[in-house]
Amino acid sequence: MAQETARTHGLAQWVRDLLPYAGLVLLIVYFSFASDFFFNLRNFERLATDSATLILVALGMTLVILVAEIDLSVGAVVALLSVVVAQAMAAGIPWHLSVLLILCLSVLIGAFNGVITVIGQIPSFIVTLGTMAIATGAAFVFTGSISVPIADDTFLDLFYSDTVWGIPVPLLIVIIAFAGSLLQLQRTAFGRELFAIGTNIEAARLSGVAVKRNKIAVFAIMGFLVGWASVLSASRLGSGAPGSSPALTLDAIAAVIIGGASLFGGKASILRALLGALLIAVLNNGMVLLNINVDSQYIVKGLIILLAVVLERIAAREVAR
Amino acid sequence: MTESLELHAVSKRFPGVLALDGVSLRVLPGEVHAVMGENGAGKSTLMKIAAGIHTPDSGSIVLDGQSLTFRGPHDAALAGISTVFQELTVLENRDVAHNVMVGREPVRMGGLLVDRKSLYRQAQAVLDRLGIDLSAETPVASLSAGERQMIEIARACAVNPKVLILDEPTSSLGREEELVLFALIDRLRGQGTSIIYITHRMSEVFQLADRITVLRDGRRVATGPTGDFSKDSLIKAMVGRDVPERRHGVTVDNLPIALEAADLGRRGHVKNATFTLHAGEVLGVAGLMGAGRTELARLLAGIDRPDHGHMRLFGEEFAPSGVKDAAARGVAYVSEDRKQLGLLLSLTVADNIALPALRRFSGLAGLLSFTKLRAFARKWMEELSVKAKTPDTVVNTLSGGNQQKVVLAKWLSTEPRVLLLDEPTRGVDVGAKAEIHQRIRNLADSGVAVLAISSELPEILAISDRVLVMAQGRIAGIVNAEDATEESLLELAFSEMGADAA
Repeated sequence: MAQETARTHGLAQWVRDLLPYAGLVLLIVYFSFASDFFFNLRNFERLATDSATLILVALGMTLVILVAEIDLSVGAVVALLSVVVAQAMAAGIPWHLSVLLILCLSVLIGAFNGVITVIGQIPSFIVTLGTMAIATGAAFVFTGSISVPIADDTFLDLFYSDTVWGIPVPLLIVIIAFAGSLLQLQRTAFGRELFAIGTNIEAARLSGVAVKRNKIAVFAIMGFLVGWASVLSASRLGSGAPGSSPALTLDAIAAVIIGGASLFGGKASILRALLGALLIAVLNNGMVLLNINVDSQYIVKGLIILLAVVLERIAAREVAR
Repeated sequence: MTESLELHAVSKRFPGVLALDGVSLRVLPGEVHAVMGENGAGKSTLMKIAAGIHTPDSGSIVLDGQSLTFRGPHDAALAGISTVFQELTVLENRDVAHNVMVGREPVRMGGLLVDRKSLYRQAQAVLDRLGIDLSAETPVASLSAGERQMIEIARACAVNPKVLILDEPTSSLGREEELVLFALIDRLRGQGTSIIYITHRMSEVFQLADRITVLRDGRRVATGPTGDFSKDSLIKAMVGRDVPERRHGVTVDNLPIALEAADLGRRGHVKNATFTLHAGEVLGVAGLMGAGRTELARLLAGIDRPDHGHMRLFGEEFAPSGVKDAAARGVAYVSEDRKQLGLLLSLTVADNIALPALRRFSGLAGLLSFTKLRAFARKWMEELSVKAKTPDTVVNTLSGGNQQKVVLAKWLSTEPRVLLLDEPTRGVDVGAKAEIHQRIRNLADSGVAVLAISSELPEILAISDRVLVMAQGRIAGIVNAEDATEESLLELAFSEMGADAA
């Protein structure tokens, strides 16, 4: 009999399990010493509101990666939708209807990605690469490459600086999205089925799981979260900018990977993805405070993603042995 | 006459099974040596050792008096042993020449460029030498299954091997193509090539082979010139082992019909299957590898769609749109491949058992009740005596037998009316096997219609009321288990149903 020992935890697995926690703590300690402006309440407040967009997208990306898919279009779609919401308000549509409009649009875009991937049996990275190009192009075409300013103060205040029970609205949206995602993944039949699909798609199918429907739903949920991310992004920038979030896709995938997800599916955690997103947000914030230029920031983040992915593979091999 | 290839006392152990136990095989120059045996007798393992894919645990490989060790298939090929495997491996979008010469393309300019002219010339020379009537420039995509098989053989022969191993080369061929292949084999034999020929088809052996070796349970039980064997004596040699205790068959005539199939078929796999499955019986399904047993079960389970024919389930039209649909109507299929198709190995026992029934546990606001879920999983773990500490134990830490019980628990928990079991005891130990057999019996006694596929004839005879035997995609016969013997089942399994088989 092939005796398989209980799950072995090798060195790489330990490093990996600790990565989001230890990484976050280490970064906070480092930036506190390296910069005079990092460790204070005002900066943390800004960090929280600024990272809301990233966290929402990372939550959605967790589901997508859990079922062994990927969505490369999110950054471009956020840019496009922030443009659309700004133009809608500029055209006189009330802010709440404008928000509703882009939420509908974003769910449609997500579902579109899902349908093409699942029904067309095309790898999602190709499908969403296409959507990304379309969204980027559309954002520039709609605006003539110029940012669309937002004049509606209600919109600007509500989704950036207003508070409910003392909690800034962006943070509140993040908390609701986080709790919802956590419950959905851990405590609903849908969530458990996603784990099954990611672990062994054929076994899931043969167990009567509606694999296609579930995957399309995952992309649509991703779309819904991307819609809210667009609202927060537009409100924070005060405009619809066609080139507003070039690093968002990279950051969201990095957050999920740092949070211990496997790109091969079946393994992902909402809590750890949140920590991963916070780690990226702290990194972004700290590097800005230290005046590290944007291009160098990319190099640092790229290295971190590679480190996380390599650790994941080594850890998987430790388990297989 | 010196033997060109000798495998001497070769043994090979895989986890949980001794696949080969001191098997020796001598192949003379210019002979066709047939290797026969039931599924799992060790034929494939033996061939893979000769082909350098597996390393033997003990024993030696001697070619022309020289002892050899192979580190991989490449070493074996260099030594002069070429193998054509059962699965075709042609490069679909290249032409014949590229397929024949793959990995050996002639080069020019110091290896920078493929020398296309010599490539086509050399490939054509190989084809001509073998008498294969094809142009080297033909695209493979336009070739028939038989022609592709020829390309495979041409590829293996391009190096002028001393020994050519053919693993069931006719399994995908029609009658005409078979004859062309036989002529080719004759030609190779005339050129002094030794051929090891693995097949399930009795008639081919008597038509082609000079000598025959029979394997059973990893041992060699007979070797001799073809003339020393008859069809009966071959079958006896392949089977000959102790028959376990038999059960007394129930008379199915009085039992209600659960599932009927009429003229059911799927191109290339299942042909004109007509049979009934009664509630309360165990219908064993026997047949050789590739006879279409799993494919038949997949049609019944809604995994694949039939091309023709229809089914009725308890008298109602039954045309499932998928597994979900079939499961909802009480038809459950337990796959033969529990690791790939049955289990979520890195998830828990509870995750696995509850998967088909998951949506039943959604309560308020769609939230699952983990208390109910665990209780449910625990109940079915106990029911099947799955040996795991808790429902939260990860499945890949369990033994093969317990994993199989988890798969069974998963489907029994849906309380099926029709249960399709595909190799329900593959890779499980003796104790778990007996438990699973008893469970199958109890299920049938409680009125479930059970269809059980097995490659082990003793198992089939031990658990079945009736046995359905498949051969080459067709139902070769349905017999009462009481009247059946391993010999009679094997004879049906080897039966060939006319020239229209392809």
